[in-house]
Amino acid sequence: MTDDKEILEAFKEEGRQDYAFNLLVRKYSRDLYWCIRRMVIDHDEADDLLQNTLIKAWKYLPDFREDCRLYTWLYRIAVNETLNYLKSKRLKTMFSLTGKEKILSERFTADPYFNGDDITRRLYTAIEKLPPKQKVIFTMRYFDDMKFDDIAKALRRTTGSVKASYHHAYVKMQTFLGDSD
Amino acid sequence: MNPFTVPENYFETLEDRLHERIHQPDSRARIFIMRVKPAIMLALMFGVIAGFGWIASKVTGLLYTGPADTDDPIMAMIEEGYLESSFIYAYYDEIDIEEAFTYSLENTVSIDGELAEDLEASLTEDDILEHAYDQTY
Repeated sequence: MTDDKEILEAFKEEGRQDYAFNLLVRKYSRDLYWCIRRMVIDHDEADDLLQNTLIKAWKYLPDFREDCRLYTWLYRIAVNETLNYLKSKRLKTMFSLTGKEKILSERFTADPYFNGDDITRRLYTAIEKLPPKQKVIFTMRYFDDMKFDDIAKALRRTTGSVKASYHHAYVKMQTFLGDSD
Repeated sequence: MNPFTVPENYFETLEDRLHERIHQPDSRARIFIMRVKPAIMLALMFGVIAGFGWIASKVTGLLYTGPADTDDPIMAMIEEGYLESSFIYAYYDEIDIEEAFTYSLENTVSIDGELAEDLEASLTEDDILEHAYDQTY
């Protein structure tokens, strides 16, 4: 596996930026993709967000101060990109003529890249009902098993507010999953 | 277990798709639009605000400044709509008072043909007063 240092040094050299960027994409694109995909569910949306994340990385890599791991920096871009997308999407859904429940129920049946069982479908349907910020925090904690401090750093929020959001999300998840029984 | 899958060769083709996007030159039109977009938006915003202001002033009547500020009673009456506007020609041609009355009578009251001929032939103030007396009593 390529070292971060090698990637960063290659990126600084004239004419080797494409090569360095390929190394970065090969090393981190899968992890970033799955992190985004769990939050947005849909493959096409995850693909767009992953590409936007990596293009931002290409653009701003010369400004990377190396005060954290390269993956932490990329992860932060990906999570914030996803959070902004979920917020704008929620706004669009609010004014949509199609009911929210209908959108959620059709989401998994129409997705050719989802092959989870009924329990998994219920779990992700419940997560989909959470507000964007709670959804992102719940996903980071529940699936990626991240510490509250790390989530707070990635989202540039206080640990207290992250804990509170996770608690609200957890209570809502219990209600959603209880209701669907 | 991961319930999600990706299309075949998705990760293998990702690099190419990214390079395509990164090295895609911006078209001149796109650059031009990007540059003038803020100015267009600002101009549209001013246009919309001015439009709303005009509609609001029309609705509330703020644009109506009232009757013209004039010392001339005839002009004021014309502007207020109490006199026919065509009378203004007679007024400013400085025709004499008899002609003015004739004009006014012809245009405002119904008179019989005989009287109209008389008025046209020779009209004095006494004739007018007499006619007015006859019409009244």
